Amino acid sequence: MTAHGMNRRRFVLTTAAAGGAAATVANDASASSGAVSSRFHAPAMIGQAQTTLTWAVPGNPDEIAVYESLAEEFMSANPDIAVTLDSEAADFEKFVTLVAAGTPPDIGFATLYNWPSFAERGIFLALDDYIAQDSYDLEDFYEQIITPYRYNGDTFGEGELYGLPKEIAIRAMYFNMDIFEAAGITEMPTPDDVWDWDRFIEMTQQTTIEEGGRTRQYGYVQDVRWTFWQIWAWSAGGDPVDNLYKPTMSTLDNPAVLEGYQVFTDFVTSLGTAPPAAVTADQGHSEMFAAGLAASYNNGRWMVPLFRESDFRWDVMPMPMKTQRAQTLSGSMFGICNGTDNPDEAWRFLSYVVGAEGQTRMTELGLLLPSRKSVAESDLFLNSAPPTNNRIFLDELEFAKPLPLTPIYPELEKVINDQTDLVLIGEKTAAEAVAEMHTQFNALLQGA
Amino acid sequence: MTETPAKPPARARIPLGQRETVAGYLFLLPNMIGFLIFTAFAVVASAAISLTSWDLLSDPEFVGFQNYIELLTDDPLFRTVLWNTFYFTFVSVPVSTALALGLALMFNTGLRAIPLFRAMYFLPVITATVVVALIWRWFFNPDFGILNYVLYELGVDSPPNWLATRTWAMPSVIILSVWKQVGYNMVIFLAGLQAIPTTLYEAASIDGAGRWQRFRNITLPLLTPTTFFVLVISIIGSLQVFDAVLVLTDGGPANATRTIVYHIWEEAFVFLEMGYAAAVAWILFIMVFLVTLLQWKLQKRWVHYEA
Repeated sequence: MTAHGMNRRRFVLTTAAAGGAAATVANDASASSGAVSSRFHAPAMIGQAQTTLTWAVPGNPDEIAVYESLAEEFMSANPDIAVTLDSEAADFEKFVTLVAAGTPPDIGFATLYNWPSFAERGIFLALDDYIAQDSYDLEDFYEQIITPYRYNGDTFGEGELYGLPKEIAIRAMYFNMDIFEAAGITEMPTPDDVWDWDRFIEMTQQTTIEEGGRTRQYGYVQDVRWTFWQIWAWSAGGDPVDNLYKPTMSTLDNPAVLEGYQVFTDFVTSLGTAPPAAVTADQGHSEMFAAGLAASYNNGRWMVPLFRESDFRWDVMPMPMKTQRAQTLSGSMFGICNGTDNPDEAWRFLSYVVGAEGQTRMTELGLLLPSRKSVAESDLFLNSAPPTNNRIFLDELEFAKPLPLTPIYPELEKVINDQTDLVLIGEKTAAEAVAEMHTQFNALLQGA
Repeated sequence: MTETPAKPPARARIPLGQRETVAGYLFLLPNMIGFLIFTAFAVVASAAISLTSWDLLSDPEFVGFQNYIELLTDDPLFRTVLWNTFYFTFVSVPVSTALALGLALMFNTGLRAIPLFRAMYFLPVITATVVVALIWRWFFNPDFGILNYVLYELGVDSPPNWLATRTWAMPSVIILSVWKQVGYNMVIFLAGLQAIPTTLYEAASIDGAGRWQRFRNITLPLLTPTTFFVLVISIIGSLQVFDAVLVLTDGGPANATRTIVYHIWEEAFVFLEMGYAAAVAWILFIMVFLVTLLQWKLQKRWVHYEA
């Protein structure tokens, strides 16, 4: 799930919760990937020179099972190549350690915001020659999710392409139809019905239920990280930095940023319609929504399999807006690692694995917003209900912008997390926090 | 056929003592090889790495003592991290040691249900910290958690927002760690208690010593080697607290539970400052070394080994 911009800790928790212990998941994955490669070693015995590729695969056991079957199909069509899956190599720590040891996987994995660190250090190979040589069709990918993986040695979004996107991450607003109805909201939001902030705030107040001094049901539950609140800042017209593809200075002092940040944190601090961190710390935000304890929840398409297990009716609505619709872009990619002995074979596999077939399989799991138009705009994705309003994910993509693409992204994110903690526990006002972020951003950006 | 186990001539030439010495080293060899490769080498390497600026992904660059100078003079978080680690250690160690001793005394009787209770208290020790911390996050939930439910029922109007406040986050981590650690210390204390000869208690009773006097003048002094061991091990372990923090609070809120090892991990694997992280690790090593050395020096004053 690191694929979806989830942080390391959430990953540990998710795997632990899903498998009883993180080790179980890892063992399952490596055991079965071992089985895949041994099964497909047979052709080599017939006297064909065989190349072995290692592939870093992210995700939960369901996703890895899909990747395994993709690898198997590739191997039966290409008997000269054996592919070994390594589910741990997609983990950031393991990946950098493998690179440091000089043994990176042949096909590596990066999230959009890890990728700038790798780009600056030349971890991935440029794909342009292969794309030209094969006349590989990039047109089927959404332009928005191809551009950030370009880098010209100085600026992101320009120059050669270093990875092919396996998905797009877009955050829609999930809502619980049963809670809406119980609160007297009879007209359910539709894809074209974009609520403004006031209407959304009013909904959260209508659906929050207090009992004996304790909140029993919240109107809204939100992940508090940057990816989420930046949507609100953008909606008021506030960019975080001067250039998202090559940030040189902070623009967090734009009052519009504070306007978005203020309303976002107000849900917790003054309105009390969103739970404080202490409440979500144990169950996680998604679990609160899944348990029917919150009327709305902002997150990506990958939440769908979890919510489908819930016993209430739910759907997605567009993100509420101030002056403009806004959305944060994230996602992840596969690329060829610099230092592989077999770049040509790696390209053959890479181009296959991000193909329409692979994305179709992943879409069947309900997990992702495909990076390919042919899959995203197919009935398979659009009619995969619930949610019935799948179109919203594609609509929101139109407005999506990435957070600043820079190798110091982790440092910037830490500044934001620390300040947001202080606001949410009531030790700082939103204005003080944003002012401090602005100062620290400039110190980091000018030092970089 | 009569079996006369003939000694191989080659062996016979080596004297018995030397042969045993060689055998002894051979038995040690697997462990020694493992130690040399995975511990000694890593220790030396980390000292070298701490003198470099290294992001893991590019070649390291020698910077001398720059990392040490920076962390001692220019890292605003380092002092917080030190304070948090000491706070954790100097609260959790005495509390878990005292509780463990209390439990050991309680369970050092012949009642039939005792093994069951001992097993119950030992279960957290063998359960993975990640799993334990997940469960405790549920307990700590201010709205739905069992801890505050009990506090409400007891009439506490506004029980703490455990993990979300800077005041209560570290106590939460300490509570979890004590709960997890106490069973281990209890077992060690039980072993120590059972090593005390019952004749001493009988003799003391005959001389008219009460329960408290027997505890104060026999149990405590004769238990001091055990107590010493428990303290040394617990302090070393506590100075390295990490996984409970990562899962329970992620170092937050606002760095309130950020400890030294958490700092090392984040510098190394999030910010890719491996050289700097290695320098912090060496500071931690020096701290552990000094604290342990101090304990060894002080033990003469209070630890009584049986003559």
